[in-house]
Amino acid sequence: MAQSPATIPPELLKRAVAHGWPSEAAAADTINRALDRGLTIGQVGLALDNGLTPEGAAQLLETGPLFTRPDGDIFTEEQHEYIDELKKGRYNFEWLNDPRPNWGIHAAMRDPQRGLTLQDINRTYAGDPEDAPALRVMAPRGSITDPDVPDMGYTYNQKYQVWSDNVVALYEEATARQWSATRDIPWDELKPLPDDLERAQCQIATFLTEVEMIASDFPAKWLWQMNQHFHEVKMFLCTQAMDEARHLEVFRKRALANGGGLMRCLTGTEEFLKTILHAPTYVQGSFLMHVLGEGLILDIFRSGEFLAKNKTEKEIYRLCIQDEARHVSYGTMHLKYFLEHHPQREQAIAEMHALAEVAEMGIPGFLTNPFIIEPVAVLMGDGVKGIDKGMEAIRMVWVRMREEYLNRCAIAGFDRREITKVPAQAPF
Amino acid sequence: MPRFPSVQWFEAVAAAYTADREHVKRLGYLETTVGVLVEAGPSSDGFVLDFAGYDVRARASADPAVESDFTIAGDLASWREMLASIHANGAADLDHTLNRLTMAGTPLRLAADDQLKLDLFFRLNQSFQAFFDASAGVATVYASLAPA
Repeated sequence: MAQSPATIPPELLKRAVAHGWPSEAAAADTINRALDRGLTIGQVGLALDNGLTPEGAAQLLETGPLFTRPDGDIFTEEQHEYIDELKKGRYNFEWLNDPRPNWGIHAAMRDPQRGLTLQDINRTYAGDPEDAPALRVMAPRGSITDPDVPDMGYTYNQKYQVWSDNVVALYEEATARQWSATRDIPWDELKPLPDDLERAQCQIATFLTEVEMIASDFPAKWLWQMNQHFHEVKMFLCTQAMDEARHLEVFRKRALANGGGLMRCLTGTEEFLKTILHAPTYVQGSFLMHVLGEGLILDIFRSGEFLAKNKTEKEIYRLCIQDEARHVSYGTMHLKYFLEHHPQREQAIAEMHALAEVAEMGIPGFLTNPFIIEPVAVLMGDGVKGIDKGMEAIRMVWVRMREEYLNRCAIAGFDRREITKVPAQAPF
Repeated sequence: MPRFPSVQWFEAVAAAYTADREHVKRLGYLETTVGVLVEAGPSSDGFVLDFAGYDVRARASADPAVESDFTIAGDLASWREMLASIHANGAADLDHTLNRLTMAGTPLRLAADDQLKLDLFFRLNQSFQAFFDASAGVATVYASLAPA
């Protein structure tokens, strides 16, 4: 039942304006239409808080109900007609007789030992995504769609906004290299450690438990906004979300499995994670997370494998290295594709440099964080007494992290070597 | 008994590695070329390992850096120590995994034309480690170490 404008809480109208709606009057008009359609004030408020724009609301309100049927009847008029035909033994068979030429496809396995890959089917049919698909639908690329399909409201409809030339191969690699934190880690090899070493392992495991899930949350946030025409990107990001869920799982298990526990999480870390999660565009967040953040974490994983005190930790880190390197590889090549194909390339590069200028300060921030580098140094020095020796390794890690980051930027056509402010050597 | 380093030795390891087909498949499919450089005094022996799906082929190479995605290089003594550890333990112990030995650039080091190719070492690391771990089952004769 419709509510009069007077029943809309003024606070809701103010929220709408705060979220970018042009005026309270315009918001009231739209909200009233939504209430007429059966939505509640609470649902409208939630939609506003989730970023519903006036354009998005108009689109939703213009979408017809899924089924139109007379009161008391569970079937639509069209369904009644089809049921009547079925009763007469007559079938539709339109799907069987469609003459449009997408039939007779034989995707062949390049390597039968491997199986039928995405590359195999892409070589055969509809394998090359368009730069700007006309439709915004979930219908598979290469299928036949009805002329009146609804618009899903995707906001990422340009190939350069999401694509990387290695994403198809990375998806296959990801699915082939999945593992279980329960089954594939030799947990029975975990042995008691001296207290300082266990604390060091647990502080690192706590940090990794904290940060890894950002790489699930971030792609999940953007997935639904990507046009399904680019399904390979969405599928790869799904594998990444699963990878990172498993990383959270395995490091939480490590922290809680050997007499230690979950330790300290810092405000600065949370602030960096928030920057990624709330990055205004996908490419900006992807650069922050895939290229910069996961590049740093990849080196922490390498260090973790190097420093492992038992086969359990060795296996944990080695498996995580593989996963993380895939994500870094996608991010690097996505940045490259984005910058090479952006319609205003120079401006896009300038904007990315402005972002990198600020974001790179995360590298010295990361490597002067006592809750990160001291546990690593203690493990490297085989105890608190050897921390000075361990700090030598931190200096080495500093140089390599910076170098690998700059190398990846260069591959993406985004040369930062002469302009980065990150010192080439550790300042300690 | 194959001698390390030689094509015959790498092929014997490849045969041992691929013998457990299910394990190799479980580690994951890969297509990459890995250069191996074994330095002995002023000379060196180069090899390329072609990882093609679940199979591996080895060949000699005068310049593995040019013919591979990335190269693992080190002196004969370091390679020998790693392989002896694998032979004694059935697989690399904590101090002799590929990542452990290459991380500091010594005693083994990684090299590639670009970072993306180098990152293949990380993306497919389990397979490479399993390959060298398979040498545990290959009786090996070592080339003589160069005099100090």
